[in-house]
Amino acid sequence: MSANVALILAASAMIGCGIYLLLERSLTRVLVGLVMMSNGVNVLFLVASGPAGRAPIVGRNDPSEMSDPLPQALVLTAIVISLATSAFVLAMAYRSWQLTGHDDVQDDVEDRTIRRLAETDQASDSFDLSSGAAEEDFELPEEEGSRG
Amino acid sequence: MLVETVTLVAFVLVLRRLPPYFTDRPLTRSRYWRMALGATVAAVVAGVMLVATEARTAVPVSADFPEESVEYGGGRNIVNVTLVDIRAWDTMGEISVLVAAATGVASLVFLRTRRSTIKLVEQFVAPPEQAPPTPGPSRHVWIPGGRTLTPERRSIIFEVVTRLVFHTIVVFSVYLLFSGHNDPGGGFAAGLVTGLALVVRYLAGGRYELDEAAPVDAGALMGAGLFVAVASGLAPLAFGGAVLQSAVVDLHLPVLGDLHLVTSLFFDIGVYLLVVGLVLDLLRSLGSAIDRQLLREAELAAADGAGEREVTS
Repeated sequence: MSANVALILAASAMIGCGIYLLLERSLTRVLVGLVMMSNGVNVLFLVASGPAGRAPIVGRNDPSEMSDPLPQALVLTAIVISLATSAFVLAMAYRSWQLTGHDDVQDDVEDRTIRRLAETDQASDSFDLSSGAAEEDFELPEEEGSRG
Repeated sequence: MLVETVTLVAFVLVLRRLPPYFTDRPLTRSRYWRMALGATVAAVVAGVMLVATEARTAVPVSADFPEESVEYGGGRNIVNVTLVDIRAWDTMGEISVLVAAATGVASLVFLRTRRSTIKLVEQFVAPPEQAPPTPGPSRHVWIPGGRTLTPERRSIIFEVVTRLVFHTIVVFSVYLLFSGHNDPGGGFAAGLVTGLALVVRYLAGGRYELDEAAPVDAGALMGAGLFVAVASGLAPLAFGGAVLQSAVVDLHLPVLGDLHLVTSLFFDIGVYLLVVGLVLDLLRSLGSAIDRQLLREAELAAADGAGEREVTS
């Protein structure tokens, strides 16, 4: 089975650009990247289905001339899901614009703080304030069952 | 393609609220890393696909699909029989994803609830500066929702064409739904065509027109679609079959002639309802709700401007 080089090149270019855009901060770029990637993967399905044939409808065309129906069904599933995904990312970008005035993905500041504390093996300031009850449990482990 | 059209409409509906330019970002070293990563992945994908297609020796799994689709699926359109019968679990998972994504979109835009948002033209209250051109809803208009728009946003040509084309599109989509088993068509295509008819109504007459065209809750429509699909999948269990198995019924009706009914049609009807609900939900959330938010912001800005003028005078 011979490969279709033009389709492979087009698909790999789309997937490469899609990955570059997907790693951006702004959700609009992420969205364009997602759409490009899903289109690239769909083109790869075309490559896998082999040379183009007639429409796969029994009675109209001879089965030996038909193109492979399975990749077509898979692509049909994939494009509808990519429609739903892109609508969801669009709504996310819109909501982010509504809240912050831009559509960049925010830094998770809390997460970064926790990671820094974990690296230096420290407890956070609020840990001592909120964990008074927990320390009591540590001192009196036999009462744990009656409390919980 | 039908899907691309729906995607394009969704894009445009949201893009009117997004910033007009991409944000600038510095050309840092991490960007070159990302470029390199993208290029590497592209090269790997191209290499794998070249090697994989050249190395393929086995017969495709779909070699027997033409016979099986006629024998067990009772249909001649192999792709559609694959979707609703041979690989119906794929479709089942996919429609579940659609419901989840549409619910996510709705909750991101509506925030609280999407119920009680259906407003018919009778409930429209014209803003004070815009005198209503007709005293009430009359039968002699091309589309009823037109009078809810400001005159500069209306297009009479669009309204007339919408009126003439809408019903034809819907009938065509129902034809696609029922003929999909043997000819091009199927639940997805039919649902998207109906969805596009709704898109045309919305674009021509605004959000009141959309509610006139489809006075149902989009969530209820999607739920009904999922229910029909699941019920038609479970129904064969009652007759001793497997889940999602389909049976072929050949009837002879007195007037209509021979009827070739495959039970997987009901699964396809579920998919159809769900896709229509999805498009309707996207229009309601990304179209109507954003319209309403824009209107409210404009009113707030006008009220602020009036207040400031009073203070300064």
